[in-house]
Amino acid sequence: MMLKGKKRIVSLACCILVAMFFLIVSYYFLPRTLIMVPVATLYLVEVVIFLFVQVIVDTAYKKANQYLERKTLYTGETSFLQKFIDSIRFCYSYDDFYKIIQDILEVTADCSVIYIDSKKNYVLYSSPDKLTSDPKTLAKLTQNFPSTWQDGVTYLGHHLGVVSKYRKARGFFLSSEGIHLFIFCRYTRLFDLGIYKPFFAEFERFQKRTATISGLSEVAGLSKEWEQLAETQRLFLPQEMPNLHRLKVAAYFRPLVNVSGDYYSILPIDKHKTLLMLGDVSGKGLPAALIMGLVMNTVKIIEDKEDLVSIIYAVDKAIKGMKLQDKYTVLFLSIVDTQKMTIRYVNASMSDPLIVTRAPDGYRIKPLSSNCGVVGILDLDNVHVDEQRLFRDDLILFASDGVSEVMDDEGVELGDTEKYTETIKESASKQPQEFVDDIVNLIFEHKGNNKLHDDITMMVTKVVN
Amino acid sequence: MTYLILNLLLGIFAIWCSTHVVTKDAENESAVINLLMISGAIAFIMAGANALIIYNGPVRFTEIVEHVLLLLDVVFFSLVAQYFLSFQKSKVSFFVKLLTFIFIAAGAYVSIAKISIENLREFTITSLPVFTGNLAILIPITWEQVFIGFYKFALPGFSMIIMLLKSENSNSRLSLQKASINVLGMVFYWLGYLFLMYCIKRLPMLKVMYPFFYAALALIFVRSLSHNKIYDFTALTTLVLKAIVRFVIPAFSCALIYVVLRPMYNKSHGLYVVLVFGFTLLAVYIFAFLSRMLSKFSNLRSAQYDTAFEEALSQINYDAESKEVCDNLLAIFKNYVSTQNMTVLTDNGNNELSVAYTSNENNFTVNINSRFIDVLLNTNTFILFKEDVAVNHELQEVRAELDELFIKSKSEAIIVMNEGSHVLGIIFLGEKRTGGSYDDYDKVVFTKLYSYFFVFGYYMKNIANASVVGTVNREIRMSAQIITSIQENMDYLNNPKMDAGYLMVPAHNIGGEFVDMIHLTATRHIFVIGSVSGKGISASMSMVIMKSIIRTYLATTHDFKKLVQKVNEFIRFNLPKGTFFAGLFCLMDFKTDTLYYINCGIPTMLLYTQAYSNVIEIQGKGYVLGFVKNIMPIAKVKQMHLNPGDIVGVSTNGLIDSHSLRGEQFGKDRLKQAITDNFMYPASRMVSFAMDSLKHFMSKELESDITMLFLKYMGKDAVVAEDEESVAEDGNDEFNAESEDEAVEPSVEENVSEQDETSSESLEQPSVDNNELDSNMEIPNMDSVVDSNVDDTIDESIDFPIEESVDTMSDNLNEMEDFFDESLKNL
Repeated sequence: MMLKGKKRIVSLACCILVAMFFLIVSYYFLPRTLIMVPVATLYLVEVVIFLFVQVIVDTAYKKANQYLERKTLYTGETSFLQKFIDSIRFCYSYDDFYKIIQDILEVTADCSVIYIDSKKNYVLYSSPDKLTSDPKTLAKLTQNFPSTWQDGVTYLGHHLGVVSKYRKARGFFLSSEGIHLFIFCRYTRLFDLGIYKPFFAEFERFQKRTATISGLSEVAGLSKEWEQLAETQRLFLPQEMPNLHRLKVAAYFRPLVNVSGDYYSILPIDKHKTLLMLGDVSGKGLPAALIMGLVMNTVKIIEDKEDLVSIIYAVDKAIKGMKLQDKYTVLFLSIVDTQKMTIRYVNASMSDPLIVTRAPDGYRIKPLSSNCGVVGILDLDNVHVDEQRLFRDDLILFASDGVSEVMDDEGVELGDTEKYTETIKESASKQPQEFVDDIVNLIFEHKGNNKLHDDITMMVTKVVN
Repeated sequence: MTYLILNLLLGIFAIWCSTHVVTKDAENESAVINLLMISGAIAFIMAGANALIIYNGPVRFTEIVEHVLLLLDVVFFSLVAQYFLSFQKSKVSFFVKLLTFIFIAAGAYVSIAKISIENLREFTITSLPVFTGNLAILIPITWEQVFIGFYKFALPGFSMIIMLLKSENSNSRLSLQKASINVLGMVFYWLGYLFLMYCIKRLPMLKVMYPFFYAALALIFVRSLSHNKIYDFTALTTLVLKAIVRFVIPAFSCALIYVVLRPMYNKSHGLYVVLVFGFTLLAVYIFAFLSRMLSKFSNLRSAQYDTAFEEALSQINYDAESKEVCDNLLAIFKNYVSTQNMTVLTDNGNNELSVAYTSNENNFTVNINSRFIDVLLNTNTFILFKEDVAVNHELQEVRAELDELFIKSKSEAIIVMNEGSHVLGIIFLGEKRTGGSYDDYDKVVFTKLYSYFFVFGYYMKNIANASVVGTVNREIRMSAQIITSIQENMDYLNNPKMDAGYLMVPAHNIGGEFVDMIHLTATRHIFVIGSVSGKGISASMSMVIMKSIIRTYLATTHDFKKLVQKVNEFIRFNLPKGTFFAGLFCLMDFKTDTLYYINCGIPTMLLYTQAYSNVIEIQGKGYVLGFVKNIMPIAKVKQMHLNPGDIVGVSTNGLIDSHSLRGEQFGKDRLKQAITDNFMYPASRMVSFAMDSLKHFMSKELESDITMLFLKYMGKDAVVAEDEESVAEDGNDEFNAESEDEAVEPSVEENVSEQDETSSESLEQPSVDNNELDSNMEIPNMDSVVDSNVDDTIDESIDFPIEESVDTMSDNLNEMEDFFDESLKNL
């Protein structure tokens, strides 16, 4: 008999006991003399007698119920399912779930299991026995129980169809939003019927919990990956400014979305010569960052770094080698020679590289104009290197277009303002890091509450005595 | 006889109860145990007295027994008074003990010296007036009345008032509630006593039932001690309502049936019995049913809140904003546990747990490396109540820290949410609205439902990053196309002598594995397959860069081994620390039907020989790139002569390490089987079949990236004149493929003859030999393909003296150890 039936019988028995004891105590234990007492008194006596009897029987009823529950759910065949249900509570992933299927249902309870995501037609788990490993079983179950099968518990018959009588079942399955858990067990008839409701409730909660954890794990994984990527990209950039002969360098790098297509590099060639590079890959975010990593590392591994033209060609070839339709880079590549006091450069369509030089009437800005097309998409012809003289205290500013294109509330770009030019001139006498700080402050002052729309990268070099 | 049995049963019951009393109040607990035992003793003695009366025992002895009962009455009520006076105190004061002793002594004196038993059968007593003379007329009070009035009413009543006043002054609602329950118990006793006295007038023998009231009183005291929840209005209403439906209404109804049908008694006993029984049964059943129905109303649920609490927790919607989720959780705690406020601390990434949510403006942090956290984790204490700190000996060493934490957080209970040894966060629960403390039942429920708190903690920890997901997914979506395009960007083999098939299936979006084919000349083709360490987009980035870098190096490097060394250096010095590459570099020379390869830690390289229709493993030892500065001394170029029908199958570890639902590994044997079963198909079909075999084996989603490369050698006859011309044209360009090479010869006849020369690594490779090759074998350069404008030179292979090689290898091993040490430190 099932627990529910047993409880009903106990409940009825308790009612009978109460009535019986009440009658016996009232009828046999009370002497006739009491019968003669006033009705109100008799009534009160009977109330007290009933209360005593009821309290005692009620206590016994509770104990009996506890005993029945313990005996039914925690001993015998149903205890396997109860143990399984208790364990589901602490399953946070499918692996945890498979583990308890193996440990409890398969090893302890001699059941075999098929766990199917019927919407995806995907077997999540199947026990290693003949029945559940047989493709025919799976085919039949899939055919009989489509993903639209109503949520709940269904008994399985001998031919893997539905049976309504649990006594004739060879197993059962739980269906929750297209996820089906088939449990084959020849002694299904021995399971208490009361176990299925909590089983199904716990199964549903497990599905929900796993989905939540899985979603959050994805968030955790992605955010970690995202951080790692940013870290990887930053590793490609100079980790610290090198100590250079007669050169001081400072840089600023702020990607718009964690990673960016902007890049800069400072590679000392010898005591007097330093390769300075700053560039910007078309597009933003991860795709641009991939090309940025490619360009940076291509330049790094080229042995002859004094041959600027070859470097440009190598970068061009590397990008073209990827055979991407819309990826290219603008880039400024230069060698500063502090012995000859020159800067040799190839400006592949990079905007705004400037030399700020001291003049009798203050500071003068000399642009290092473009002498090459964009790299990586069109054929390069006639790449040539230009050269400029440098003087002591000259400051060279390389900046991505993100700097000059910062817009204020009225849509005016920073590069078009006099303030920008003035700040450059005013700060030119400062150390490179201070100069960078001034420009960064100006950028944020200019943009006000507007969002940035591009990566911001700057590199400032100063020729010192 | 009935009374005798009832008293015996009562005695047994009271003694049994006294051995099962468990409360948190040790001193008061012993007091109520004493009371229970005395009530049990009284019941036993009463049963004895009954027996003496029934079986006509010695009169004097019966009288003594009844005096003993009186004396026990004195003891019982004196102890009741002591219990009231010492209620909620940790120790009974000497003064109270002295008072108790005096009361007992005085009571003993009065009961023995002043009171005599009037009627042994009816347990009636008599005594002389207390006063004599005129005073006796003025105050006609007897010793019996003094005895009963003082011990049964005055003494407990007075001490009860003191108890109530003290509880009122203690400002503890729980203490006041407990005192009130005691008072109710006392009032119940008095009413019962008066009722009994009333009934005794009609039924004198009923007096022997008075021990039942003692036991009931003692049980009510037990209840007041063990009940640590404060009834709020709802709970009290629920309790009263249930009691009314379950007990009071049925009692009055059934009593009414009994009384109303009483007139039938004289007419027909049988019918009367049947009717009373029938109606009583019906009434009891109906009210039992109503009582069950009542319990189903959520507002009238019992104090056993676990089921409803779990249901509510399972309904929390984690798609909502974090504040809403926290508010929901707090509402659930408020509703079911009466928690007033809640603070949630989560890991802020700086080795600190900081406030992520608070309902009472708490602001504090907890160092994640605090000693108490270690202790809690080590002792598996995830649910901790303030009161447990003092009694849990496992927490002794951090008691001060925990006390401070509870004070700082203004909380009464904490729930530590951990993932292994990492604490995700802590939930601090404030004091209960009812003023009661968190009890054992709360602990059982919290422990049982811990998984819900874990999910909450996991949510709180990660939800802050949820906004990243959209961005990352968008970036991945955009990049996946580019990465796939880069992965597919290779010089596909177009040579009738060889059929190449490959497969790259990332487990999640994008990965770090790749296959590359680089056309050097018409008779030379390079194949690279491998996996860059790490997963996801970071590994993809490294992969993309590496793939490009290999081609860039090919422009200036003309030695196969040096190419690998350069790649090794690049990984070591330019990619993020800890990155390595496990793979294989192959160079196929169609002119000599020879495959040169360097194993850089490829886990699987199989060779199918058609002549013998079997598959053997040939990869031998290999060292992954990126671990040591110089791979040259340890990397070996091996060569393998291919015969028509031979198939080389290479795979990364994702394939062979994949597990089935049952935890079995796919392994190399299954891959071998897939090759043997499908050798007649083109290479591209073969890799597909191998993948199908894996899918069928796994029956679940991929765990790791799967990358395979199958090279099927078609035959010598396929050399075309065009190729010859190309070779002639490219004759000036050279690519050196060997250094200290090992030859792999699939011819078994030759293998057998060369077994003695086979190195230890080739136990499973009967086709491997160690024949030294001509150190300057020249191979046409790839420059015609890669358009390098750099002049090509033939690199001499490096010939390491044995001593030097050993030293260098030793250095390299040291470097590897250093690398592992650094990696471990980073971890």
